[in-house]
Amino acid sequence: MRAPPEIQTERLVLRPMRAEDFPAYAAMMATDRARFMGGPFDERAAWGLFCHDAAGWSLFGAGALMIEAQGKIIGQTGFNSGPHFPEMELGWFLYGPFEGHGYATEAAAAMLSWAFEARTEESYVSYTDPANTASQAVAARLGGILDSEAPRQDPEDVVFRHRRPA
Amino acid sequence: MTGLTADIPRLATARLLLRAPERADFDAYCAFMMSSRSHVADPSPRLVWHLFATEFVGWCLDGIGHWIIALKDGPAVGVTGFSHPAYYPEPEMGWALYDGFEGQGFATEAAAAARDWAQGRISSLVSYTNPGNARSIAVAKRLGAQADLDAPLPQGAGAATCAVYRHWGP
Repeated sequence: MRAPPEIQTERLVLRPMRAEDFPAYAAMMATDRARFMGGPFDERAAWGLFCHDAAGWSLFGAGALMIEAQGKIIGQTGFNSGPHFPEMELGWFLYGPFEGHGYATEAAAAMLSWAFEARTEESYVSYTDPANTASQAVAARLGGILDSEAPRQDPEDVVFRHRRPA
Repeated sequence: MTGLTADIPRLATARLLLRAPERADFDAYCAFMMSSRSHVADPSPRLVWHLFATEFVGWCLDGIGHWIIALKDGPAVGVTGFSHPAYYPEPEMGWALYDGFEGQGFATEAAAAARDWAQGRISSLVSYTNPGNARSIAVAKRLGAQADLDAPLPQGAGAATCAVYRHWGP
């Protein structure tokens, strides 16, 4: 059990999820943007995902945080654990209008630094859809190294490994 | 014709390289096209050579064409890219993986890189698939293409043999 932190970066604030974050989250999950996460999802499925993201903090000590830029919610980053993840995964997404500014990289890098500071794992993975070139670019910018041996739920996923800095 | 290969861009993805064809690539290509997985009717090495030539001649004529997909520092695993022969109403993107390389996301990864490269270079882009080819349709959908029931079909094709997935345009 761990209370979710608030993390400041140069341009962003990563802060705990709130119930009022759900409508925008559900709206995105209903679109084609969610196809790399297995969507699109109806509202009921989106609520399940939303609760999964928030519950990571109480169940595993690491979950998701919402990303804010200049007071606007622009997306989410955080860790996924549980029966559907062979190991702890770092993920991220941005709402459509906020792509292309390096926000996902900035937010996920902060999340990763937090984890290496606060936790003991030697590495984390990111699972990406082979068509998701944007997320693969983020994973590579974070310093992720391709790991073709990593266990994965979907054999087609491209897996990046983020190692604890020496 | 080494002058031709110089005009073909080289694209890298997380796991793959998309590169110009070489004569030595024909054997693996031919083995695949002669197999039942290719869905080519009555294949012969002569017909397959013509297909091979068709995949790549677009680079000369239109500045778009196919690449050989290879593992980084590894063997060729398939082909992907663009075709616009005289019997297609608009540019088409296709992909094929040789035996033993399916199921790892390579087609999706290579086609996504090709598609990204073509953005802004081609005003319309579709993929033609056999309506029964569920795996290829899954790739088209993962790329974000949508079924287009109104799209014009290649000469001689009908809805029973050709489903159109549109990436963008016209």
